[in-house]
Amino acid sequence: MIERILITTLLILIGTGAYAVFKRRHVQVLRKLETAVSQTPTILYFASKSCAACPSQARYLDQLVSQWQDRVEVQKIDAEVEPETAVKYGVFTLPTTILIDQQGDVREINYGLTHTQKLTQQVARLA
Amino acid sequence: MRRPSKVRRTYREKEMSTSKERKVDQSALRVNQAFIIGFSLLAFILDNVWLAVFVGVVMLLGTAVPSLALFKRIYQHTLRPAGLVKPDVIVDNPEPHRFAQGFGGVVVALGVVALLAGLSVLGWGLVWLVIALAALNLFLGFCAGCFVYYQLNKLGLPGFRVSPIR
Repeated sequence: MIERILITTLLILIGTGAYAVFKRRHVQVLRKLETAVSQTPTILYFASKSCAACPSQARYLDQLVSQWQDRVEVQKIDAEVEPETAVKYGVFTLPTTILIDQQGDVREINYGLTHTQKLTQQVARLA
Repeated sequence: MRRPSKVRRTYREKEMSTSKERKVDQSALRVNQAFIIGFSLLAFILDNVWLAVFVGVVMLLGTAVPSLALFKRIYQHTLRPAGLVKPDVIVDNPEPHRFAQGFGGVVVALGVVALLAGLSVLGWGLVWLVIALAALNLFLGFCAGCFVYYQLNKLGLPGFRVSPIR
């Protein structure tokens, strides 16, 4: 049983480690993209009409904007209307939110539905 | 005595009208995935094939008869009323999620067959595949089974009649 617990722990660590590495590499690749400088942090919000979780994500982003008002900007990108933009940012699941700081550098990527609390913490680190 | 066809048509029309209000409780799905992951991990750690059988049966039974989905019933009758888990209902199609669960149940069943045949690595490998896919859904919100369902829907395969809600 001890061996199996160790195998389980190892597989979980490998899985979470691989995800962390993948996400970090994704951010590094996106940092090479030219992004406009802004006075406020920007959130690129990739969605589509057929994405079931996207209305919930929109609601969470609305809550974020109501808290931060003009100190954060949200740009919605319809991945079905602008697939080339989604490909450019390496978006493979919806919704995806990408946080860009005031210098135009990508700092965070969230794959899937992300709650207001987490977005608030991420924006606070950028502000 | 056969029912007149007029009654059958009325039932079908009713089914079509409720399909406009398609909703899925994401919390129920998450609880379901958490239980599947938890029991599957326990089965592996204890090297207990019958726990894996239990998980497979629950998944397949819940797919065939949604009202008998054990883990979802635990959510509905225990966790939600106790306030431990809040509902998170969104507009969504339930069919792709059922397909995903059914597919996972089949993979667990194949894993059990392999285990009973003495193919331990293959058997537990298949169980771990289900754990990984359920974890992908639970933690990253990506339902691989739903993705496959909608691809098959795009191809026009019979039985995959539900398209993404727009």
